[in-house]
Amino acid sequence: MTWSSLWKTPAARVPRCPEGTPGIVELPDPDEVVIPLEYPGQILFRPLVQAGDQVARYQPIGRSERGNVVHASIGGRVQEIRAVWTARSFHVPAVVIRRGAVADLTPAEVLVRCGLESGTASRIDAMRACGVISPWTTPGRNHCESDPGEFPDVRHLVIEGFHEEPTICGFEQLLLANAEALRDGLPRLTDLAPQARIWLTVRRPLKAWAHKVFGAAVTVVGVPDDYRRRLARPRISRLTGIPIPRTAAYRQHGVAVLPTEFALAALDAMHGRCFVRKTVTLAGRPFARPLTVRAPLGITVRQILASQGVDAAQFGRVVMGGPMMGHALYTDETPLSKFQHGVFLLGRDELPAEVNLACVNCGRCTRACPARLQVHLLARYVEYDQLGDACRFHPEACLECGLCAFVCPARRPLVQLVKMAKRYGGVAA
Amino acid sequence: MNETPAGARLNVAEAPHWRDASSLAQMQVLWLVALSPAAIASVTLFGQSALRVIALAVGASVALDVAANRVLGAKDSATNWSSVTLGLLLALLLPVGAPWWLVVVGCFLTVVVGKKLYGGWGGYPVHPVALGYAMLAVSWPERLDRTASLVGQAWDTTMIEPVRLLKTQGAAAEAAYAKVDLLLGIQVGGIGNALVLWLLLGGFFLLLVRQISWQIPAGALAGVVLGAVVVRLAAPAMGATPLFHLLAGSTVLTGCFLLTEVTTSPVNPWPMAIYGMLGGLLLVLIRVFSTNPEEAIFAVMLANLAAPLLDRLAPRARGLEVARDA
Repeated sequence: MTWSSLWKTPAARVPRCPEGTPGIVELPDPDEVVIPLEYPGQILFRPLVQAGDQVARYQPIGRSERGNVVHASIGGRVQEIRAVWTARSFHVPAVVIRRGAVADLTPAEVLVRCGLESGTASRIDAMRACGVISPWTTPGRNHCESDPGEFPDVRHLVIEGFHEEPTICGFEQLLLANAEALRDGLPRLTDLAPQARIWLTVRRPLKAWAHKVFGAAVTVVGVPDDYRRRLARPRISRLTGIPIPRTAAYRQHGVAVLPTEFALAALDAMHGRCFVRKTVTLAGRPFARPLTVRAPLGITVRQILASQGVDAAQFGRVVMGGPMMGHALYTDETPLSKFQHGVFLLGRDELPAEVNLACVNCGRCTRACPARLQVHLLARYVEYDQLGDACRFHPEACLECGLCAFVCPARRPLVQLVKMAKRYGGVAA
Repeated sequence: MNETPAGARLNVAEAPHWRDASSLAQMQVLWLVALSPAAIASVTLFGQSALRVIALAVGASVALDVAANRVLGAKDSATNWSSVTLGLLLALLLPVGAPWWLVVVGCFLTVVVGKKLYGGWGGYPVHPVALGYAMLAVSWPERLDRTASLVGQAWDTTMIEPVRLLKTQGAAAEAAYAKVDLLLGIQVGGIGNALVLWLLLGGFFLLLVRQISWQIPAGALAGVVLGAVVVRLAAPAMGATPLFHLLAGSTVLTGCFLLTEVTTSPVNPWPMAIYGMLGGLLLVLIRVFSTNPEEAIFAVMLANLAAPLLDRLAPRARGLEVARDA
């Protein structure tokens, strides 16, 4: 029982993480990578290689109907194509590459392999060929491949200089390390949407710095270090003044949200450089401060942790993502994909107890909810198998931010219950 | 890789992987801390006879809770400390030197009938203490006579309960009491329900540690003031000033500790304010117009019953689809 911070609002009790260790540690190529041919969402890639093939780094190994591409993140030999479980999906075909001495492809060769010509290829096609899926989408739920060849009408371009999870600082470290490159390259990105207003969101302590570097080209927004205020959806709706429903993609409302990592990758892609190395922030028990590393896509969590001398077997829970919204992994051999930004470790003694007592109707969940859901009722309706009634409380507006369960004194699995209403409620109603 | 996962055996659970340190027991312990100034003041004022009732009520509540759990096998267990708080709250309402059987029957009505039969903490529709005390007040009104229980007390004040004197003398009763005395608890009352200052201290503590929301006590305050003003305007002979109603009897206990009970109060801000107001208003009206001022406890139960309805005034969820052509 902790007695400190009782005077704070329940939502403000989400711990602030210490500042991340400055800089990004580059990890060497591992001996083997497992590259899933899928992104969260609907995009599926057909393999372009088969077991036994020699592949060079940057070589396309999977291609979707629309011309989006997955690349080999290291050079070597294709060991096999097998089904894997990733953090968010299962039975996904994946290409396993064993490292070998194969020369990298040059940017021009990458474009040629994708049927494009260097110099004449449009910027959009170049982005697709380099593994940057339409920049006007955000990872996760919003991902769909139905985007047109041209950019949709974008009125607001929001470059996110941090991640909503308190422990993930890769985006911020990238912004700090590549501020000049981003500033100088930005016009090439923004003139694709000339009428768009450009925003840069940073944590509040960096606001003055960002303003100095980026000047008048972008509107710099400082965001307080409070988890609830960091949450992207409500924040971006407030920022742009566009009430974007939780069920709609940003792009449907003329808003593009681009974390610094994807903005930089899009700029690189215009020069034919592929997005095959991903930053990921390691945080939790063994790390006094979050540490950002960069590794080839397809590296397993075990390999990432081993590079820092950490063995996942010593810990209770390994989470892909952050402590509030991350997915607990059932194996540390899960590969890293483009949309996973953090690894968070909990010690065996730190595992929160899921005691699931009866709801006492204290309402902290409801008052903490940034979507203003009636969580206390919703969860009980689901608990008592009244999914139809639960749906009257709009579970689809849930952000899955985890604040309700975080503050629950009865330790109920509230996020799970709301998610259940979201997923099965329509069926039962 | 998928059939027989290699690598470490890991614990898997749904997000969030961080949890607040709060727990049900912590909530109750904070309530006990908030009630302790009144309990300590009471023991200081009334000595052993108050301590006896408090100890008996708490002990009987816990014992009955444990026993009922054996029989009913509810998810609610005595380790959440809720029966301790209920026992203490009931004791504060009872008169000094209440007979032992009255205390035990009160505890039975509170813990077993009021709480356990509804499934425990979280299940009951009205505050168990309000229920238990109301049943005592209806069954043995003469046993709850506070004036008789304080016969030996040498206080320089009118030795009749302020709300009872209000019934017989109307607005003139107000002159019989000094406001400072009322505030300091120098008034005829139960073990702790009239120790206004100490209860206020506890209420502020609960606000400070965010166990209660300010809307309910503020609403109750507004309701009491509104009720007193309305009564004064409608029937000047019966109407005491709002301040008198706030300081007399168990107004503060009701506003800070009974109406604010989490299970029986609404959870949204506006409903909480309206609920508090309803409770305060009913308290004054029942106090003035009923035959027995003890029945003011029914105000709590009536407000409790309105809570789920009031909670339907919830704010609209954010992030819903809006009509695109609007």
